Amino acid sequence: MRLTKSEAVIALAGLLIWPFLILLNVTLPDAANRPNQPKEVFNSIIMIFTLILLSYLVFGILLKKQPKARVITVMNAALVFGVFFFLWLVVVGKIGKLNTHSFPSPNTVFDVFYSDFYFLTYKSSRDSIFRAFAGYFLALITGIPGGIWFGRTMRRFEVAYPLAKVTAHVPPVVYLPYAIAVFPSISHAIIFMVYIGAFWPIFINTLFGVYNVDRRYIEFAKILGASEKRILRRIIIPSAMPTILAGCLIGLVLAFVLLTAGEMVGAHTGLGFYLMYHTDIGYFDKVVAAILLISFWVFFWITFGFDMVQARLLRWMRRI
Amino acid sequence: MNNSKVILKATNLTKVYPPDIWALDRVSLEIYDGEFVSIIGPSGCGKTTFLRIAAGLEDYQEGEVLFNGEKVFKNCDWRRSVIYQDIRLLPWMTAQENIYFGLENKGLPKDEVRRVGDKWMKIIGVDNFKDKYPHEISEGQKQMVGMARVCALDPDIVLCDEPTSSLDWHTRRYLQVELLKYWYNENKTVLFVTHDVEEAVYLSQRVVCMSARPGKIKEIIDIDLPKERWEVARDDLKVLEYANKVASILSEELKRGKELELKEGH
Amino acid sequence: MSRGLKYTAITSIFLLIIILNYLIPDAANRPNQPKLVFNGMMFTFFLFALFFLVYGHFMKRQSPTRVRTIMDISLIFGSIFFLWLVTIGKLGFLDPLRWPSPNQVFYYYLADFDLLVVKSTLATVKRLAIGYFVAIIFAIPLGLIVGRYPNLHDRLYYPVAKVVAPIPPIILVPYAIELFPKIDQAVLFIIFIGAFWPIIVNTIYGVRTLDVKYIEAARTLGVSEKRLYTKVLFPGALPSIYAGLFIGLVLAFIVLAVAEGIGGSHSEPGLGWYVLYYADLFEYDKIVAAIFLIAFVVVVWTGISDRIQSRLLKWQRRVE
Ligand SMILES: Nc1ncnc2c1ncn2[C@@H]1O[C@H](COP(=O)(O)OP(=O)(O)OP(=O)(O)O)[C@@H](O)[C@H]1O
Ligand SMILES: [Mg+2]
Repeated sequence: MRLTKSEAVIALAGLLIWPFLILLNVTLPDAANRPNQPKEVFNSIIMIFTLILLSYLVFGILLKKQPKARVITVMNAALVFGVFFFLWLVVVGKIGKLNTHSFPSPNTVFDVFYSDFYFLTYKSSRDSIFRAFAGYFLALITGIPGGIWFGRTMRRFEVAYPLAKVTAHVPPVVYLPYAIAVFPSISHAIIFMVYIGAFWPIFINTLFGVYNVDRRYIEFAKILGASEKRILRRIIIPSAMPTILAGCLIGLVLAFVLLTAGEMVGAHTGLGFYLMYHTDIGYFDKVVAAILLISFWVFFWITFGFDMVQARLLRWMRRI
Repeated sequence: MNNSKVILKATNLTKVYPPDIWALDRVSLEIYDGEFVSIIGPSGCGKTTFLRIAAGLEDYQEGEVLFNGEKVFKNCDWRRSVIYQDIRLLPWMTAQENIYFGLENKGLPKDEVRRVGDKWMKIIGVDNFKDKYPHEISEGQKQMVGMARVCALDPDIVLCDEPTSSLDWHTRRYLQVELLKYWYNENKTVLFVTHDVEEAVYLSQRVVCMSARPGKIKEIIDIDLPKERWEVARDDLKVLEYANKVASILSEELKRGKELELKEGH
Repeated sequence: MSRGLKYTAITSIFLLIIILNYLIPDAANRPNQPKLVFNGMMFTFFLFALFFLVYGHFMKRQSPTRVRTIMDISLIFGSIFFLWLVTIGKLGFLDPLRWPSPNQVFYYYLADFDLLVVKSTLATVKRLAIGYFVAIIFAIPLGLIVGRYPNLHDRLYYPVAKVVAPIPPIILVPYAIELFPKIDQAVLFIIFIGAFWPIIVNTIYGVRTLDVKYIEAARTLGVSEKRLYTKVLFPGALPSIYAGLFIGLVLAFIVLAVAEGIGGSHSEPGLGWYVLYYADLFEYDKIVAAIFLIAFVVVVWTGISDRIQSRLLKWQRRVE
């Protein structure tokens, strides 16, 4: 596989900026106002990340197991975020003119992942991810069939659409107090909120996708004597699929938004709670660590969960 | 005519599309000021490509295109405006706004835009649907707008890429005559790409016949008919003679083009 | 049953509700409900439905499908209010603390007029409007520019957006409150972030999927770079931009509710604050009142934006 010059530069820079970060971290003295930062965790995580990138590069470029454009995009992203960490490390950790309370250095933030491993990295993540998926799953199994049913005829669509549009805009956070009062536990209430948040985009997109399926195909299939079930399976769902999937993605993003919102406002466990609790007692290194971890999980589930399922589904759809 | 100045000049123009499609191979052509030139050739011989390069929409690998002595290379200009086969009205503008759009691009003051635009709307006959959006009018009406917006712009050369090929019989004839009159009255230069032998012969003073793959100029035929062409009958003996001549030159190329097209269809 | 009769029946549900409200005595566990405001609202609904019944149906001045949709929706609302009033307000089902009767709920629009209807609503609408419009002003031009330059998109925008866009903006609330001198600014900032990403993502999508043939046509008509943006790229991307505005508003509203809940106070009220504040005091009737008020704000807001949308997009062929 041949790389152009600029592509090669990007791939190399995206890889090498990470070990360079470790080098800087070790050689440059810490800022005067924050001496003796615990560097081990930050350095090790960056090290692991470098190894992952390296093996991806070898796997992708040398063994040609990945399309070139994707490898370059990944290395490009690695470069952009490398620059971000570089600025953070140098400006905050090494130059250190900013106040230590609200601007923690990356070394102290990453140390939290280890020192608070049980509560933050393991338990809070576990609780949050469970809630997110429970709510999201419920939204999928109700939103899609519901959308299909309401989108099938014009009359149902015309009733469902204006109502859905208004209700979808009411921020589900305001239902939280109610949910807490009605559901047996706060966890259930948060799952309910995640459900509501993810439900509307999934429902509305399914509604739209199904309603806008080209009527001629349906009529044609009817003339050929296809049953309602067959029409659904062979015509409506495949042609509405891209729209439905777009709704599912928005739903997933909203699920995380409502998860963190609910946990910040009401819960006693989970990443959102961890974040809010340490805000109240003023530990901003832990706040930033929680922000990073949440961002990581969201990115992880969208990229390695959603995108892959979507690619599978679309390929499968094309086959039938 | 040969003592008037050259307005568009292509020398050894070569265009290769990736990966290895030779659309034009060392094409040289001079177009004089005030001329009406048609390019005709089988499908896929590079007519559209030539026109797009002249309009400044496409790059090329070798050779040179000069417009009024200046190099044309991916630089568009209203002085080299295009009437497209697929019309390309901007769907978010009404017919009238589409016509005003180019005039506003020229930086004309508002009342001037209105004066010139309305004049051409009247001449071409866009008036009674000027407030309609493109999706609300017929293909023929759309192309009338497409032509009016170029005429109003007052370009030095009008580049036409099969502007009549998607139209009904009546509108096609109507627009051909409008274009001829525009060319005659305003002393314009027109470069007209077409598939249609009769159309090429009936409209132009020179017909450039191209051969397919790689696109080359095969022969250029001068049409010796009066400039007031709309007064000539379409079945005039001379017209038919010229048409026969062009057709015989093209027939083998057309066959080759068909084969190429078939091969690429699979 | 003829259609006229059916519509008359639906319209009269609202009158029926008012009459029943006076005739049937209040439930024992919710005595002396103040009925004025609820009845007034039902009367307004009645007049609304009556208008469509007489002017729309009998005088045939409105399209039959529109009248039918309005009547379907009226039937849904009428039944909900009817059931709510009878089961909870009159028969006294469920515990009165968490499940107030409609009479109690709507009474607060009068009783708490100043704080709820005026101060909180105005503050919320103001914040939403400012944050949302600032986001629009930044996101659309930026999106048009990024969408136009593939290199800028692939090398910088895409890697950043892929990771940053789905991060729940809410987790930045504590940090924003820490960094900004005033809470109002922090709230505005968060709304801005929340609305920014969906709008820019969809603007870019709109520009990148716009058919080049329109750009080419504009260029051969001598368009300048500036007019290309305002007269071609922007209107061409507008349908997609509108999809982004919709999601952006949903997100902005969620984020606003949480941010107000965390940062608000009596002196800095807002509907989100109002709900969460009275949740702590277990005054569920006020919460329900606020939820309905939010829904009302949403109806007005989306109504206005739909008007603008259909005017700006009237060049599009309608999907019938
Ligand atoms: N963007 C492109 N990429 C690759 N090949 C192209 C591209 N555009 C045109 N071609 C090829 O270049 C050749 C010339 O194309 P062109 O469109 O100029 O032909 P044409 O003479 O206008 O044909 P027609 O009469 O069908 O309009 C064709 O073989 C075509 O397949
Ligand atoms: Mg062509």
